[in-house]
Amino acid sequence: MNLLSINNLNVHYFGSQGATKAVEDVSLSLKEGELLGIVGESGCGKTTLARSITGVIAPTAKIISGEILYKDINILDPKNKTKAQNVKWKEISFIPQSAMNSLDPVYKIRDQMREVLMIRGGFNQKKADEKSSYLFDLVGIDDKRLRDYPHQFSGGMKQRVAIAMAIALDPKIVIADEPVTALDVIVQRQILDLFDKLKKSLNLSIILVTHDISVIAYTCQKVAVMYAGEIIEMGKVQSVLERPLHPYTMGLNNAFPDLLSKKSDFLVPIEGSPPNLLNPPTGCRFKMRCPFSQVQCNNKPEKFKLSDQHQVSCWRENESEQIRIKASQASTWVNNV
Amino acid sequence: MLFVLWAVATIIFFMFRLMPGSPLTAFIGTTFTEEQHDLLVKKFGLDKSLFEQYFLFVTNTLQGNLGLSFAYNKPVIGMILEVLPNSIILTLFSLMIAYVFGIIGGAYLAWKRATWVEGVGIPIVLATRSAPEFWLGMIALALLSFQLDIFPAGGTSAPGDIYYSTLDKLLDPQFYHHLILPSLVLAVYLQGLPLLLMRSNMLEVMQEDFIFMSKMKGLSSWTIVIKHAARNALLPVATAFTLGVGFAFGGNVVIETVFSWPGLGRMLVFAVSASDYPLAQGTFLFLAAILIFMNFVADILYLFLDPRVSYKTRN
Amino acid sequence: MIKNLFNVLKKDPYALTGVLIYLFFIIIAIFADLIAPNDPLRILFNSSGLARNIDPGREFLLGTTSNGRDIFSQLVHGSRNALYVGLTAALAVAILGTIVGLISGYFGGWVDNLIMRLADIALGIPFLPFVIVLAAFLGPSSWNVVIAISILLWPNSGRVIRSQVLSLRERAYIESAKVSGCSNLRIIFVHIGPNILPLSFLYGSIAIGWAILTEASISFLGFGPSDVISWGYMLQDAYSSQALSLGAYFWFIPPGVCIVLMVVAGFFISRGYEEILFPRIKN
Repeated sequence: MNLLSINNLNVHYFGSQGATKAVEDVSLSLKEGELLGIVGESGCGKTTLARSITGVIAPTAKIISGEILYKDINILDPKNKTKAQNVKWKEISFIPQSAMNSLDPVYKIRDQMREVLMIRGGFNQKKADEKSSYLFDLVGIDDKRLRDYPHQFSGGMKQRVAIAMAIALDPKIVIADEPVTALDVIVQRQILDLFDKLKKSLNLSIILVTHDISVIAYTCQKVAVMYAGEIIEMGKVQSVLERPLHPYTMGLNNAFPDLLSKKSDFLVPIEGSPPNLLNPPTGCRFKMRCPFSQVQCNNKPEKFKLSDQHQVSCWRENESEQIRIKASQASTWVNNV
Repeated sequence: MLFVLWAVATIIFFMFRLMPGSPLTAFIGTTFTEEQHDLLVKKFGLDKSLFEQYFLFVTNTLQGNLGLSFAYNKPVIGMILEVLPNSIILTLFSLMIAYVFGIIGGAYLAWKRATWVEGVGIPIVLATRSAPEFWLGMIALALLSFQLDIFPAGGTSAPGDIYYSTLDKLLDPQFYHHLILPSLVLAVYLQGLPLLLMRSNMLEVMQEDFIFMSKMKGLSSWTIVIKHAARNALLPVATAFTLGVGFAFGGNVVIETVFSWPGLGRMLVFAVSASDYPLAQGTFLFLAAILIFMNFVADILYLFLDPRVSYKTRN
Repeated sequence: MIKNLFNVLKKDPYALTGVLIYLFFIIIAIFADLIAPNDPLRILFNSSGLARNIDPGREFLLGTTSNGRDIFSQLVHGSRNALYVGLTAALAVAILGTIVGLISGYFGGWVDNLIMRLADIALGIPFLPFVIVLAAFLGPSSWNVVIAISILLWPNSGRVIRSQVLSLRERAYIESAKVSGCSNLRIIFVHIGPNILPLSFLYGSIAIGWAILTEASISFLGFGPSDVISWGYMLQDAYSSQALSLGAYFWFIPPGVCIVLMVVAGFFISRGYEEILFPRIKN
């Protein structure tokens, strides 16, 4: 049973120059206790996707079509407004990209925790304070610091506060948008380990959005690769990273250093840049940068489902083994565009 | 603050002494004899060297002695203190009305972003800021006082009535009857600043991440706008209020003149017209002192209200 | 940059209105002699003697003052004084504020400290009282307003420009300009200057309105020149001639409206350009 199902979601941004198709026909699902990663470069739409799940998107954005089913209830349907409101923070919560500004600077942390716990959780003040102390303990902060203001915390600590805030009402799903990007490597590891611990002890499901593939490799079980607003490959982390089916995923692999890998150490960026989503190209959106594109790529690739929950949107998926070998050679990617 | 106070006082001193047109000639005119002229010069200490005069000026001022008025032959400081309450009451009353209205109005306009309310509201507010205060006063007087006879035409009291003390004033409804028109007109002019400032701050704050987070937490619109957005947006407005007090004192001149309100501003105008330079100098100095003091208070206030700033200064 | 200006005008109805208002008054001011039927200062007579306090009619579009002068002609000529005072003050504020901001921000150190101290002092002097005293000593003249504005109002624009310069100074291209041997002056005027101009323009346009309002207040208080017709003078004339109790709205409403229009125009324009300067505030 899927805890969360996103079916054919389309989100557009409306600006003076027209509509930017930021999220295009995205479908994915999350089971209980699962840690799903969404990886892609900046501007690929992953943050928009993440925020759409919480129901709070930018004023210029609009969900055009699609449904988001939480426990089989479509929280996008205006008929389910009250149910959707109840889902907010109590069932699905959010850890934002930069915890820097996610807390109100003029109120103490304790007051902000109380606000969430008392107003949305029905706690009384005493119980709220007890729970806050417990949460801080869980995330590894001294509960004396509840008396402090947000600016008195370091980056890593603020992230922990954000995590504590996110799990305050015992949600089933936590969405973390680039939770460790702004932190140094050591703290990154600590926070990711914390995620893992919480997932296990609280039976939490986590959606982790990031551009850093090594983070995905370290924590996630399932991964969805996003490019130009579309999910082009999805599956178990091991499958996707060791036997990628999409040229983009293969290119991503090459572009990230991996200290543990045994393959020859070279970093090859994917030349070119993502297409303009105001007027996205017809067919496969990666075709301009793909070393393996052919005429058929002018038609939108179908979703090919392989065994082991591994799916990909590429016409040449049946040739993936040969393509993989070629993709591991630097010469394929250089002078490509 | 003390440095600025001293510097401004010195500038005022030199301004009144070194400007073209000896102050006494203007006052005395040609009707006094040579003897009387010399007597007066001696009396007002104008025969001493500039340096001596300055020294006397500083020591006297520090003791609260601002000299004797040429026209009234009374101590300047006494005259200032007599009219000071009127100015303070007018200023504070107007500012409070202006700021309460401005804060609420500003938050409302921010809420109505990109609607016709904003499109119409902003030009109207800008127009109030563009109108000369005394002109608004003139219209108010012409309409509400002369034509419709709802409010008195000026002064703090009906002719013949005397207030015995400030307390007496504050308790007498007649006083308020006289206070309403000038303070409302002044408030109309003053509300533009807090309103636009509050609106601009609100718009900026509403973009902040913690507002998005509040929405995601499922908090009510009321909680978000008032408890979080407004509280953050108010900081600069509070500072502006203190600055506004200092500024309004100097600017009240025109309103006091239109409504014949006996305050510091009107006294300055009179003193200058009558070439009563000790009175003019004393009043000007007093106005400057208030301004400088309120600038200082504004800085301190900000330190207290913003936890981020006070944290830095404490460490 | 010029293209940018025109684009803003096209998109922003407020800025466009502001510019149109300015153009309107500039045209009136230039052709005042042709538009106004009478000399604004001339005392007029008609068949029944002194043409005083006549209501608006065909002969006198806005009626006459208590001294027998044509109000409409006064109104038209008043635009000249308004523009004259407004534009001179705007120039003074823009130039002074920019120079101060550039020097203070770029050189820093004791120069910066000194200038900031001077700014504190300038801000400690009450504005209107200062103009009054100036008028009393230097004699009534339109220059008093310009002088006072120049001396006391540069800190506002100066400070903002200074902080802009501070942030620009640290940018990489300035560093490389220095390394490649550009003189300080050249850096200031060629590299930093153009980025500051929009700010100067903004404060300049606000200064026009401020100057006109101040001039009006000073004239109203009786410290303005009496040989030059200004809208402020008209208001003072009306007030002291008991126009209020006479209900002579046609006398004192029009000059005020003109002042409001000109000052509002300044606000509209500066708001329009606020959009290019601080685009993040949009949406």
